[in-house]
Amino acid sequence: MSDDLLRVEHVRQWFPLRAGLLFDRTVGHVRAVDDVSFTLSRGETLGLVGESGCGKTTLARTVLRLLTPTGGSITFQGQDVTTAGRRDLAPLRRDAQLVFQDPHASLNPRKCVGDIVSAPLKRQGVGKAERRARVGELLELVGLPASARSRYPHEFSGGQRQRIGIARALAVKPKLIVLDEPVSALDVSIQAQIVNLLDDLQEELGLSYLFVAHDLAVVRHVSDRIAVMYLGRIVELSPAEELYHRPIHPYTEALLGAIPVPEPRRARRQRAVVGGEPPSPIDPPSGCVFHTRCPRAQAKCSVEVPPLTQYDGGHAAACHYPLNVTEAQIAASTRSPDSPEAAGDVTPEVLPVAQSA
Amino acid sequence: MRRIPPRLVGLLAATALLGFAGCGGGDDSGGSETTAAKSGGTATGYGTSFPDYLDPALSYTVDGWQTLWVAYTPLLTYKHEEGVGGSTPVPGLAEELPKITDGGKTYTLTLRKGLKYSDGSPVKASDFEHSIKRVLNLESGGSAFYQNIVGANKYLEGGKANADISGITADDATGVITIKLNEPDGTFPFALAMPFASLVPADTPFANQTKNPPPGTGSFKITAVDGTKGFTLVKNENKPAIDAIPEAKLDTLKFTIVKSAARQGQDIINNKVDYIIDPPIGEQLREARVKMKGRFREITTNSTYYMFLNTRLAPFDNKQVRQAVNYGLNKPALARLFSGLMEPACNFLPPNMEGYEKLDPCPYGDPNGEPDLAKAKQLIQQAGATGAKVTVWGNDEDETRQVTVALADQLKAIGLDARPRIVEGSVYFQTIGNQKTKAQAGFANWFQDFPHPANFMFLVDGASIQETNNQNFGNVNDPVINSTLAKINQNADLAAVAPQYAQLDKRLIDEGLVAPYGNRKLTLTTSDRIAFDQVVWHPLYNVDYTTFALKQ
Amino acid sequence: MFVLLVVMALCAPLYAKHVAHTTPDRNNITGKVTVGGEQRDVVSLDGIPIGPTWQGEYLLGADQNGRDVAVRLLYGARNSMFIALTATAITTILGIILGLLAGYYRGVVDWIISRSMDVLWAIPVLLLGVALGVSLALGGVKLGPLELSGDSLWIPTLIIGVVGVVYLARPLRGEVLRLREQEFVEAARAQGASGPRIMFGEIFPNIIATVLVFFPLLVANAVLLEAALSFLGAGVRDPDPSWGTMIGEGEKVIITQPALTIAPGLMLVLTVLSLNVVGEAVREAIDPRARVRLEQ
Repeated sequence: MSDDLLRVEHVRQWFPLRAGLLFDRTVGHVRAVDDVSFTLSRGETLGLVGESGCGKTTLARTVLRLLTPTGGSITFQGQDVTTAGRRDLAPLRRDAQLVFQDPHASLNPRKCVGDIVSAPLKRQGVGKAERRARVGELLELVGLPASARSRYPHEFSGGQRQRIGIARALAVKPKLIVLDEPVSALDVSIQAQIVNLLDDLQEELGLSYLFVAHDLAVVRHVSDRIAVMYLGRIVELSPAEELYHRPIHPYTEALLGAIPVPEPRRARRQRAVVGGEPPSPIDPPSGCVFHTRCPRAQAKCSVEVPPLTQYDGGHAAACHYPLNVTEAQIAASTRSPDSPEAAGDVTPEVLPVAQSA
Repeated sequence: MRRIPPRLVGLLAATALLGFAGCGGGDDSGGSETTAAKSGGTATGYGTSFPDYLDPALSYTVDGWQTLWVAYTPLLTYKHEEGVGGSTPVPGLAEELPKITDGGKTYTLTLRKGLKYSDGSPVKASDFEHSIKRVLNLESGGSAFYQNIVGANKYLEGGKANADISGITADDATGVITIKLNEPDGTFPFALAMPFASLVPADTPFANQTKNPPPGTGSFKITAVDGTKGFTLVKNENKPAIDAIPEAKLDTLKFTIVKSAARQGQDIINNKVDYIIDPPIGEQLREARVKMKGRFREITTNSTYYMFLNTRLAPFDNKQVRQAVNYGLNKPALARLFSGLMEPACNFLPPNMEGYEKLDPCPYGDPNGEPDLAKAKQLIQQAGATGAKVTVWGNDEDETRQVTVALADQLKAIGLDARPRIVEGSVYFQTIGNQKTKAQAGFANWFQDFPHPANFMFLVDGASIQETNNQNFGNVNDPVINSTLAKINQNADLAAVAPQYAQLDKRLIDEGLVAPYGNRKLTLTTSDRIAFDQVVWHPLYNVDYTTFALKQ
Repeated sequence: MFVLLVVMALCAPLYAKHVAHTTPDRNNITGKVTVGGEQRDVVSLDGIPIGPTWQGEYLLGADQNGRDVAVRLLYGARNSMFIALTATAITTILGIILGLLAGYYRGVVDWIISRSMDVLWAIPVLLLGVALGVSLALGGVKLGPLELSGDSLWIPTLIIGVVGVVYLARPLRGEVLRLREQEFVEAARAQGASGPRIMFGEIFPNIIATVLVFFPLLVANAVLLEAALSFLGAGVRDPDPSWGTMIGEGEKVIITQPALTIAPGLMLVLTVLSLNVVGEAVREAIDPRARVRLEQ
């Protein structure tokens, strides 16, 4: 267990909705993150994917304690940081950093690159000369010239600014970097560059990544494992390659089906496409949150919350009627302790072919 | 009289310098009938602001009194003459001057028979007590003059309007009125002649009657009070047949309130209005002197303008410093700040009053000459007061402000570190009258309430010092002055004690207890229509409206 | 042009001493001055002061107390500018602090600050200024060890400084509200920066532009407010000159001696005008489109 860098258990992030004329009353909650658990080991990259609004960005920020969870616990490097105050959070602030999605808004337009990158060093009291040296190092590390230090963010392209953001995150030599859709705002060609850079850095520096994205194709390249989120819950957690060959949860299959394929006619499988919009996180559906859009949904799905079932090969999914599993595999499966607390002790079943859409 | 803001100053009591030698600024003799005039007709007049009250029990300003004395008459009154003649009390509604007995504590008078108010109702002896009650009950500024009457304080404490004042008894059948005083007071006859003591009908309510003035027994009656826009005086057909109350020559005199001094000046020069109460100022004064020959007069009033010096506070607790101030005052300069309507003076008492003896030579040099700065500086140095911080107080009214600035500058010139301090006009006297303010020096003035030196001496009497609402701003507390005043103020025979008042005046100046600089001059201006040389300047009530007449 | 005015103001004592040979508060009612070879009264016997002589002494004439109008004009410039600049400095500092606090912390802090601003905003500035000016001038101000006499120049300075905060704090608060949602603020927080650190380190540099644009306009406002207060008798006290008091003193004799009013009035107009021009220039310079040009 000492290899675990980050352990998240049953974390919730519910935002209260207030309404009222004079005094705000809480009339409901936005359940952005609704009972999520996972573990991240040293040197590992965990991809976190899902549609917009599924809660992955909120989860990323909660994990870094930029928000305080409304339930559950977060343990970082063996220390419980769930409700830690500013002083107790210092180690987290040093050893975990965040790279943002928007290269334009994430850098202070009034500061030169050198100041932006060295800011965390300054906060730790590192001396001026040493800071200067380190900034030069970092810039080169991310593939930028050292002379960039005296220029301002608006003088750089989007891709270059992301590199600056990465350099800033690396300044304090963190162990974990949370990347919130770091390449979504970039051109496809630049995306590849950045992803490759991240890969190289991980090897060189032994970093762990929590890589949040909505694009499965991007995530596939960098991740060791991938978690799929839907409406605040993790619906599938799998080693990266296996997710693409053998998706278990219907939602995962739908996501894969949505990936643009270069030669559609040559696509091997028929991918079921899921239509419609995800329901509102204020009033999530009962039972399995996906049942309203699931082509395989049965009566049980609207009543019982499915537990996270651990199958062989480190592949887990939360579905009553999973895809691509045999009876034998189900028999050999266990109920993962990372299951949502609301889930019962229900065993998945194989759905007869005739009943699927 | 209460210090009048300079805007109302035009209405002050003035003493014509007729009959007195050596007066400055005034000119020609009045009262001669050289212009043929007719009876009747209407004339118009301007005032800068509405009189404080048009209720005889309450009014305590010059423009108020100027209107009220020709509409109401007390038991005693003054002759409608200029100079000394007009300064002495004569019987008004009473048959004769009061009989004073009992060591000066009892006054007996008899009401004339057959008198009627302007509405035709009869005047009764008991109306006098009612009139006095109104003065006390309405907390008039004049109550102080009648609190010496036995039972007056008890009446005030009782708070009931219709309670009896034990010191006043009246018999309506015989018309005899008896007044008992607690202490003898030589100035009481003057109190009986003040407009406060005018008789009004017994049914006059205990409230401010300005909007609807009660009937009176004067030459005019006040009608048509139009809010704050003006009022009209109309000849009283029911005027009592007494010499002391002359017949009005005009039928109607209509007053309008015009705030702009500039417009007033313009209109009187151009004959658009018949009379203005306030003097023209600045350039218009210059114009008036040139263009209004034959209908323009400057007259020195019985008033003193002075700088008070707080004898309780440094540096003015030091006699040498006070004398230095008197040496250093540049009186002609101050006169220019009043557009020349100021007669530099050395005395504290004003001229044209019994008890005044001109200090000649003035111990501090000719008031009309340059100040002796060298001597002043020397005295300051000897007193070790060079560089002493002094605040000179004043208010933001026109002329007062400039004078205060000039006074501070003059104190600086003799070696004191002086700065003026200007406060808002409406709070000025309360502020310097409060001992907590610790006002070292400042602007002050006084216009006579009646022609008796006691009226001025009370300003420098140790007995007048109060913690708040103090009028003895300099906290002058000289034992000689205090004890002398205690005696002579009670003596009703002014002629006998007049020289002693003069001595006190001299002492005030020698000791530098005050720093007077001049007597205010006012102007009389009318349009061409008015027979100017027949207009009488009354020493106490200023312009006498009963003498206004239209030329033939 | 504004710089020229400031220089003129600072030179006031020199002018007074060498050119006019007098001081701003020396009364000279009975003095005489030589004009065109003849001796004339500075203040005539009937109280009318001399008009402009267009020479060293009494260049623009005298006032009723015989004081040199030109000298008072320059000293008035000193006073008016001191008050305006200092008051604006106070406004700026307070405005920045309150804007930052309200925008960054929101919640209760914002509520208190914003409601206070609303109250201050609702009261007519001139009435408030006059009320404060008159009442404080009477007794002075005593705050613990700090004591100000009733006629100190600091009283109108403080009044104008505080009253102006509303005009700055509100727009700054809006800017701060916008900025705090930016990701670079989150980044700073992710790096463990504390609230005040973020406010002054990250957000403050981004609001400087707004402050710079507002500054000249606030100074212009302050100049006008001081003139208004002094005119009404609630600002600078006698005998200190200020353009406002001079206009007030000259107002009564405006028909006969217009110079007493026109001179300070003209100075006010020039000052406010030049400040507005400066404000425009600053705004153009700060324009982000032009920023590239600036920062190269």
